[in-house]
Amino acid sequence: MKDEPFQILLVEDNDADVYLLRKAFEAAALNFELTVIDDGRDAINYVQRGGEWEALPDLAILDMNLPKNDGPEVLRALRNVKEFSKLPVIVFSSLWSPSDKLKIESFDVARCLNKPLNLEEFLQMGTMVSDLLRRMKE
Amino acid sequence: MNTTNASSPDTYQSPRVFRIVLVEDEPGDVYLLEKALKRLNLTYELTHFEDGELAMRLLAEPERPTPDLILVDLNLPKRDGFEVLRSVRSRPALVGVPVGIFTSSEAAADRSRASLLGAERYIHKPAELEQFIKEVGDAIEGMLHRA
Repeated sequence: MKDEPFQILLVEDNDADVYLLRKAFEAAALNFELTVIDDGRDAINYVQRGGEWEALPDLAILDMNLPKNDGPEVLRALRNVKEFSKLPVIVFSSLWSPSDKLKIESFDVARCLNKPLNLEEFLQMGTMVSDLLRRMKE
Repeated sequence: MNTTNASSPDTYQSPRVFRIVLVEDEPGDVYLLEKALKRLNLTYELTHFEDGELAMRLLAEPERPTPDLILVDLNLPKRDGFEVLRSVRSRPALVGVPVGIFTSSEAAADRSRASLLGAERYIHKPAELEQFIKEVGDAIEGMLHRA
């Protein structure tokens, strides 16, 4: 396990979900730093701003329903930037549309999930993310 | 791959046909699982894959109807059940489809791994026939009604 914190990029516009995910990572004893971007356009700008990242993320977590540009557009932008082309991405949504599923079908993602509905499910997601990151570094 | 359709004789009015996928290489366990399904009050279509590689390839076909439930043995030829589970959990078309791990392994590590990879249930195959049919049937019913 690496000593420095795992860098997690979270693209999520719902403050409550951000808060609960942060708590879930803490509960999973994950050493992490979270970069939160709360709309799709800012997320696309972030990944296209080559050479200006403080630290490349180890994992991105991407909500499908975002203001300005939606999750599939952000995922496409991620995959079109070399530094992010292989980045493990977890995509989640509280309401998956068939169109969103179709739009991201061709992209490689680590997990495709329904958004957690309660505290227990957030805690499970925290444990899952922690396990995924630790296994990536093994 | 085999697909069979069945309905309980007293439930023919049910409008819903549950699509169930079973990834299992042991013919005896397939037989017992079908017995468990037939005891449930539901109409189903069972698609059976005998190895993990075939399951991963065919579950990824875009034109395949979305199943209501996927049951996966852990110990499979070619690709094991964890790989099948990981593949299912990375496919947008299968998001939210419950996956039950259907195994004779009682190892805590296997149970934990299955949960971390997103399995809804870990179903240990009971050794006794009646117990198998009841416990496996109950687990399947629970997963279908949550979906």
